[in-house]
Amino acid sequence: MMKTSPSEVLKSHFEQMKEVIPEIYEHNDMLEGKDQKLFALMKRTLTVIDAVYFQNRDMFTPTRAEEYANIIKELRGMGYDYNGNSDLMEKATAAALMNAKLPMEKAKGSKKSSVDKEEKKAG
Amino acid sequence: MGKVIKFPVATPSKKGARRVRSRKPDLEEFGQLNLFDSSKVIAFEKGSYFDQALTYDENGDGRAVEFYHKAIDNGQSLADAYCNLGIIMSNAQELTKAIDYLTNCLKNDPRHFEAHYNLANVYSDRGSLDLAKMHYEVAIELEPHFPNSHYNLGLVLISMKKYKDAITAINKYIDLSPDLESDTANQLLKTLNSIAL
Repeated sequence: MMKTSPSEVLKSHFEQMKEVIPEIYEHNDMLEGKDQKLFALMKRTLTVIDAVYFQNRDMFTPTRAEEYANIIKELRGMGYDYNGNSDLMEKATAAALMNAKLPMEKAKGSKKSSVDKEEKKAG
Repeated sequence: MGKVIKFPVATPSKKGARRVRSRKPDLEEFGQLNLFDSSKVIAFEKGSYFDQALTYDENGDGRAVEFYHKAIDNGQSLADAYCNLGIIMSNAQELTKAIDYLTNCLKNDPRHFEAHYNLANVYSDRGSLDLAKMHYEVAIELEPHFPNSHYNLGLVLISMKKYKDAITAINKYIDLSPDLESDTANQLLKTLNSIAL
């Protein structure tokens, strides 16, 4: 008698399962297709965003660039291969970096302004 | 006939802001438990709208805006009042208004150090890196020993991919700041050195 490998056993098992409950396998194929369609739709949407960015770069504030970068990051986290617009991604990195800047300084009103000083000198 | 009970609070002798402590009685002397022992009492000099505004500002009180405007209307610490209004607007993400106030401050005092430094912060929030760099540099010219200008300039220079200049700026920050505060900068410097060299 010929010996069958474990992978062959598994393969035949799943072939059998497909015959017994075809609706489950059809549903999975359908889901996979839907997923890919959604990804394609997402890529098209992101391309539109890229095009709008190239037409008016000033419209994209650092916060918007950061949000764009978050979308790309999430997409990649879900296993999709999309790098996003490099210019926008750089803008987002710069924005994230600038978030680490040290805070503003209040004027305490104790010192005389340079204008006052100069006026005193002249007087 | 009804008995007249003297109210233990003294009548104010003059109008305007006064020290609250002088008219506040010790409630416990009158048999009432003083529940407000830890409350903060703010006392102002008469007519000093700027000082009032600054105190409100430092306590996160919204009246700060109103009093800074009163200071401006009365010609008190004009440049400083505009500068601090700029900070308030920036914190409220009203960046255009923040720039307007800060430039008004510079109109009154072109060498106002805080205004240049804060304006640089606002420009870096907007992603206008060239303008941010210029104002940090002016701030450094005016107050070369203020460490934060060097640090923030370093961040702008990293964003502009001018890594060697960024290393110089961050090094300057480390030289000027206390040991505890320069840990992050040291870490940043290590990363920068690995990129630039």
